[in-house]
Amino acid sequence: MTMKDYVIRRLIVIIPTFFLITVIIFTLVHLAPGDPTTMMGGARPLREDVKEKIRIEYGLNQPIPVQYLIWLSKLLHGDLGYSYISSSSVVEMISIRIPLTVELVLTAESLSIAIAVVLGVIAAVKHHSIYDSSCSVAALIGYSTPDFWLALMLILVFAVWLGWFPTSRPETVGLTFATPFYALLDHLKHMFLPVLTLVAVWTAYLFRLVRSAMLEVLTQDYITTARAKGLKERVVIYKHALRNGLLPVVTYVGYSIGLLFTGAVVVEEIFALQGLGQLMVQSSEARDYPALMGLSVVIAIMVLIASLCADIAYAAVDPRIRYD
Amino acid sequence: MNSRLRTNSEKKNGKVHRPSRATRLFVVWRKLRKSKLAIAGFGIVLFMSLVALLSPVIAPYSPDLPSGSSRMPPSMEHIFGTDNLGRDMLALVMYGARISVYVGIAAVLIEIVIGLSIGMIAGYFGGIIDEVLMRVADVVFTLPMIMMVLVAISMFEVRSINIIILVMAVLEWPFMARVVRSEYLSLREATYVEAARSMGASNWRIIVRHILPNILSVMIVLATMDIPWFITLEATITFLGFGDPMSSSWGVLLERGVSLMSTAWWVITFPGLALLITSLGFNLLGDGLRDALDVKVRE
Amino acid sequence: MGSTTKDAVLKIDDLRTYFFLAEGVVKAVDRVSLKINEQEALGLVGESGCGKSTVAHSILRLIREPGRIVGGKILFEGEDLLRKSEAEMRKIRGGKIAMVFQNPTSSLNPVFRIGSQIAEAIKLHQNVQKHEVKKKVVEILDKVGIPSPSERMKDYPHEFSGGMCQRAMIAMSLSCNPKLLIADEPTTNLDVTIQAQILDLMRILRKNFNASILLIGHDFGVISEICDRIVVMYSGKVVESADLGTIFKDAKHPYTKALLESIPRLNIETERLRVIPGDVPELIKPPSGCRFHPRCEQAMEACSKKEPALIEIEQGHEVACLLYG
Repeated sequence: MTMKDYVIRRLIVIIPTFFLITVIIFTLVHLAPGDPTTMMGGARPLREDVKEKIRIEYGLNQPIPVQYLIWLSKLLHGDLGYSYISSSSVVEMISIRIPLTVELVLTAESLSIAIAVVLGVIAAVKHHSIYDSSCSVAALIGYSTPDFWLALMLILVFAVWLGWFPTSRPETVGLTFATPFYALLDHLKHMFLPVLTLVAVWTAYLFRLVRSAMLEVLTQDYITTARAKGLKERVVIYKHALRNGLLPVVTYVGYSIGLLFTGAVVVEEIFALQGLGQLMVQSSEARDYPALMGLSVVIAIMVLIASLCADIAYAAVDPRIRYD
Repeated sequence: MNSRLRTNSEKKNGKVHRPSRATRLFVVWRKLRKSKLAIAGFGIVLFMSLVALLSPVIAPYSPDLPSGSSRMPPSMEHIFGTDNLGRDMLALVMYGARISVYVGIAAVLIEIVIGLSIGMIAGYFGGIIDEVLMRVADVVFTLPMIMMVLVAISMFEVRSINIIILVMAVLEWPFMARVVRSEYLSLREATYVEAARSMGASNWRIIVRHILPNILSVMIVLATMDIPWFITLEATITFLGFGDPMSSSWGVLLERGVSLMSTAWWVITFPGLALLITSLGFNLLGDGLRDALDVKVRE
Repeated sequence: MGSTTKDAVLKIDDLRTYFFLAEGVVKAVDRVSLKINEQEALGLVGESGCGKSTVAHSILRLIREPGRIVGGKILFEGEDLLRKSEAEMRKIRGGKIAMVFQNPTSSLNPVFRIGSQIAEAIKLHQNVQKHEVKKKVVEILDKVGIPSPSERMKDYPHEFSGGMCQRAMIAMSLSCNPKLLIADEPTTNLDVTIQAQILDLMRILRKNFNASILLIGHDFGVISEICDRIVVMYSGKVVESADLGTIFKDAKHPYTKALLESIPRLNIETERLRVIPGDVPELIKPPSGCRFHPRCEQAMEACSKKEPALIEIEQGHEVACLLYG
């Protein structure tokens, strides 16, 4: 099977998967007893007749499956409804915030992969050395560290005590007159700690993965063959071994997009970054029903696309998979 | 993509062949004892469990009533300092351990029940049931946990830890189900199962007596790996404001501590450290168990 | 050893390769000496774990921690390989000495095409222009009997059957015209019919490429198809060495005789297959004296005390057994 066929097959599978996702999200939102009108009105719950009016207006009096279908059809037309809280279009709310989250996650993930691969390969090659043991221990600790606590500690040390970095927001408020270069620098200063938090935890896990994958690859027969051919050890490791060792990493990255988002939520909330994660928390707090559903679908789609890319990347690297 | 857990048993003629259970247990025990890290992990887990169990007895002060002045730094009387209401941090952290240990164990137990059942059903029946279950599992597994949990619990009026536990555990079923299923499928073809079958053992008997005990080792490792994940996730969700503010969960302590961060660093440092150490303990133990039981988790 | 070293392509003198494990030292190769002449095919026979693979890996210095070559000499074309630098060894590996392994499908890198893996070897050892490399790959694949080589070189290892993978491995090793080809159990993991094909191939190639062969195995049947001389190893030591005819007709060492008798033969009626009792000895604590004595039918008192030396009992026939000196 060629790559093209594989890609087409994967793309076709996306359609039922997408529908399944919409069902899951809809189900999750409706798990709680009652309907959104119970939450509205804040401290003073609304009168029953007001609630009934709202129900009719928003179509909440329809049976659940019908509500689902109505929502789904609107979704397919690109209409995610309007927020209960801010009355702005959900699509608008989401689109403003996408760039920041994407920037945060992509930066952190790329850095993590780069660092983890370099350190992991060296650790595998120098198995049983001090370098290997200390990196492994550090990775274990990093991997056990709660990301939100790490964020707080970093803020405490580097922003509050040392004052090297700002504590929140993606840029200094009111910096509109600065030159592009200065604006970029400012932005980097603000993003440094958030990215660092994510990188610390993600690199730890990726390192363990790369190391164990490489350790297994290095025991394979084809590595002995490569050496017996007279190749330099460097070529054996970085050409023959690495390509095979990275396969589990690609798979993991594809699977773990969800985990990445979890980290992003926490970091955005703590550092007051206006991304999708922060919106998720705000909408959940406010019980903003349409925003919650729309946001979840968008996030799910992004995750879907990311894992599709990872699948394709994997198939590009490992020829065996195309024949599954 | 399949998550395939392969146990390191000899393959003779392409089929799986295992030594007797008694020898295996002995070998596992020996390996575990040798690994210093596994022992350290076990020690930490034991310590935390004891703290959780005995906190009403061993806590120096009550966690609810003020026992010192507000925001006192760590000192001889208050080893972890006090919070803004003068409550002793050490006591709060100890009581927090109860919640975390409870969360970890309860969530994992629920996950095991659901994951084991679904995994076995998928493996046993195969066919369309298997296809559908695994498709759904793939999707649920890939979606961000925190998103799903937040969406689910936000619509509840009540903020309760049990709801969080339930939602987390139920949403985590794909993790265990897929592994159980693949382990079941490979064990089904094992030589000793064939032998049992040829002697007339019924399917049920084979499953209960031969297959389940071997799936157990895999599940133990997974459960140990999932406990810290649940504990941290609960703390995160609580920290973000979706937990029960009356409980003394570490997440609540950290949430309260954020506003005091710059003036009272101890209020967030110690609960977080406790979380870290607990996770570390379980992860060390899980690593050790995985090596001792010779289990390879292929993601 | 009375024969001259003039014709010897490879001469191993007193090789010692040990593995340093936590449980103890495994003397996998304990003072092994052998000689391969120009265009000769030598068979190295023995049970699993006797050290024959380790000898092969030692020649190319592919031994890695916790193993180490601790002593001896490996003379290839008159030069001691154990004294060469790593860079010099790399030139020899795959070039003048090439090796074929036991598991052909797993010995090829699954993510690279067959053609490119062979090309890699060619580019490494030969001064060939880029556009010439492809031609050479097709040529060599053709010579080992792979059909439509220019198409199949674009395939990946998992698209090749076991036999074809082995042909490709052989192609890879012969592509640089080695003087010595080491084949470590090349047919063990293949079907019997494919085995025969591969052996045929090796016989033809031996003629066409003028290479010496070191064939390692545990199956006398396979070994006898190609080899001129046989060296029998047991528990890290050479116990007998002679040419093919002599071994079959006049084997002296009890172990060799037992090995030969345990081969089932269609034309001789026997009630039971002759089995060598006992197990292969642990290499960490080998038996005292002659290592074979616990399983030997003709063991004497002295066998448990004194280790027999390898003695030439007649021209070209050496035995290490106290029965003969």
